[in-house]
Amino acid sequence: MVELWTPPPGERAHTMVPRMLRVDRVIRELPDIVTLVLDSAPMGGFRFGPGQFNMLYLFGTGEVPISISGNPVEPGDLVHTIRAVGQVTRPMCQVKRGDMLGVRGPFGTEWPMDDARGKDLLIVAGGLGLAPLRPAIYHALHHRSAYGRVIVLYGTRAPDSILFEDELHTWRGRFDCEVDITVDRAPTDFRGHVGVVPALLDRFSFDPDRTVAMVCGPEIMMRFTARALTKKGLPREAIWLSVERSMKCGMGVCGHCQFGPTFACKDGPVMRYDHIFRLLDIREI
Amino acid sequence: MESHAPWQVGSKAILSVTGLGDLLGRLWAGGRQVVGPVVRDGAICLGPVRTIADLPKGLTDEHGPGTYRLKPRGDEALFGFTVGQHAFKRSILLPEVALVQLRRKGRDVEVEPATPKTQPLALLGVRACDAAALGIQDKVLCGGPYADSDYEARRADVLVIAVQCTNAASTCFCASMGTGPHLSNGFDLALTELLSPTHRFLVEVGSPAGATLANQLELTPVSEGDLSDAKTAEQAALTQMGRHLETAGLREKLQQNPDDSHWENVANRCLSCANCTMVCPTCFCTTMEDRTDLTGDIATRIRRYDSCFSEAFAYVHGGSVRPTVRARYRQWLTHKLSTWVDQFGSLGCVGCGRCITFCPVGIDITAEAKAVGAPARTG
Amino acid sequence: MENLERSLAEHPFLKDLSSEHVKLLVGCAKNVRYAAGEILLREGEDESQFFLIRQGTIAMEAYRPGKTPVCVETLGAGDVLGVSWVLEDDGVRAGMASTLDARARESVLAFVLDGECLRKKMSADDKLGHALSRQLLSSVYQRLARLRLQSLDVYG
Repeated sequence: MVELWTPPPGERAHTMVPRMLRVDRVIRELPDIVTLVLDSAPMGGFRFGPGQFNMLYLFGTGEVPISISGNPVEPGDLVHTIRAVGQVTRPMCQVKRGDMLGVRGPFGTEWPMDDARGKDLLIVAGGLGLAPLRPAIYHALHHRSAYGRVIVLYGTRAPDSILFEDELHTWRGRFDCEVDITVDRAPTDFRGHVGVVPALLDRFSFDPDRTVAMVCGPEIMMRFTARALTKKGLPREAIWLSVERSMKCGMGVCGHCQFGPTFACKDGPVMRYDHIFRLLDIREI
Repeated sequence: MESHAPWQVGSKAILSVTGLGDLLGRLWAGGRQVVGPVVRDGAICLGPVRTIADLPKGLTDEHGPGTYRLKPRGDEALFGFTVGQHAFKRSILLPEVALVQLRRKGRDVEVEPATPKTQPLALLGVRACDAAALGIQDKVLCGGPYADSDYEARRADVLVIAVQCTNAASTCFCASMGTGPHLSNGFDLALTELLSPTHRFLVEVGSPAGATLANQLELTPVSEGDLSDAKTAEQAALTQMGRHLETAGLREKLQQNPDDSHWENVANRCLSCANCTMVCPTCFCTTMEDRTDLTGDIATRIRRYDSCFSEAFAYVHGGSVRPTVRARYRQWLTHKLSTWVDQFGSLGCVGCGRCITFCPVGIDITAEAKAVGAPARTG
Repeated sequence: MENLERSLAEHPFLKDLSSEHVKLLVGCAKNVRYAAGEILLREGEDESQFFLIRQGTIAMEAYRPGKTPVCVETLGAGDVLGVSWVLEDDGVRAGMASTLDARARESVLAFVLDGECLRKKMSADDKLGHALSRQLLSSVYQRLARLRLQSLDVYG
């Protein structure tokens, strides 16, 4: 019999089978965005790294990749924040407390929380992109002394579409965290900035030699944010983005998430800008 | 020396045509399903081969871009053709398979993994190109930190009874890809079909399991004449091979030319029908879908073949990342002949030529790969 | 005067100008503080003055009858406001009045440079004219690029 190709040593997982977990809380964040808190106690808590995602399964409907938006330091609650936009996510956002969802994961790469130790963190989020970055913010604030400045810049459409608004206020209220918000348009009583994220970057001075930027949002927003950051002197190696592609397996075997030579599910979602800036410029890749 | 020493890995011997029938019988009797070439609907497909009568006796296949015909050879050859539209992947990476079943009971959902019902397999008539493809899929589906467990279970007990290619087609280019036509490893037994002076097979033992099998068969020692006949037969495949693909610099060239005008040129011909991905022996893309029973209480998660040529393939909320045929063809070709190297350490094409033959408009991967990034064309 | 010159030179808009050129501009400039709510420029008004913002936030607002006023851009330290004064004396100035209200959202500190004075200095000194025009074009283009991105409604 011909020998199978020998896998690299180390643990290998076979995980096309979801684990069913119960919805413990449903938080309606915005009209089209819901946070689902799953009780992971039956499986002894759920460990993940900031930036990783799960394949979430809704019975009889299908499965979608969703970033984990909860606190990595509190593994009991497994938290995802979902926008009702597709065939699966729309009914998924309708689930009630006590319903069950299937979970496979965690999959993918993490924000470089270790590499960034001792550096200033510049966290730039757009729209729902704040959800995959929230675990990084939790991590940084929990290990606050490990980092220099912690700057959170958030761009969204309008003041009424600010995700995690209460938390943004809480973080802003800390003496050791800089938070600023920019929106595309606002009523005149809005106190934040109005304009694009790169304009907001110009309002901050940061040390390009000791800053690590983590950027997540719509791809076009990440493209122009990353370019603006390099223009401000940040090396591409210090900029990290989270790439979004179609995924059916989450583990590199279904082929859907290819992004040039990479698989967004296993080489990403979090990728370093110097590795992908050329790919980001190729249309329809 | 009438009694032969036990056959070992590397041994060569002669098997008669009836001996091949005996081999088939023994494989089935041992609980193994033999999958090999059978004629169906005017094509050589893959299916159960119980006796040598099931094999495509005296037939060959004529290949061209968008053209495939069976023709009589005028002899008794059992493997006198090249390849059909089926690749052996369909026996291991199944076109459609249930992976999970879920049952809703009130607000609870119970999960039952679908354990693969696997039967030991023998793949008969595997050419060098197809053997290389099996190796490539093994690496893709079992080589990473995660494995496709269904594939792995089905792959675990597969005998490869290869056939050395003595009949290449005009669409073939395995020599360019370094995968054939001669197969030197990756098989349990390899047969070379010899037609004259008598119809017989030169058998090479490629593995301990192959040796065990060989020792159950009536094999006779190989002669210098047999070896030279086999060499001549294999040489024919090399000379018949109709196509060439220059692989030097190909990986870089394709990745560096995403905006080449030739992509649009192909897109104007490509129907985006996905035939090339279905017949390709290395294409591995799959999707998952849910099927529920009429009560709505039982859902089955099905994995089935998918293709990067479908618009839905690269759907991200709101729309497809690759809405144009140009982008989809570029994705397929660039993956196969370029980014596969970055991902898995080898090219993803074995040179079997199926995609050329079974493309309804005859798009030729070797010609397209050559044209992309070529110096400006005149006229 | 020397203080004004020094702080003018520190404004990002002028930081690439030579010290001689900055010195030439001092005569056109005054240092002004606007109280929260005060309008710096009103929709339809001539942009006869050039504002170099030093501190505070300015909201660019549109008044829409029957709807709440809307803010489409905020300006802050380092930004400039009102640029069409530069076109005054070549006869092409048409429809270049301010398109929006510029309102101080909080106390705003700005250098206000008189447009006519600037134009005279620019005509008298080609090199200054060139340097200032270049800065203006760069600033206007950056604003244009941002507003284009902003119009994309990327956050979905």
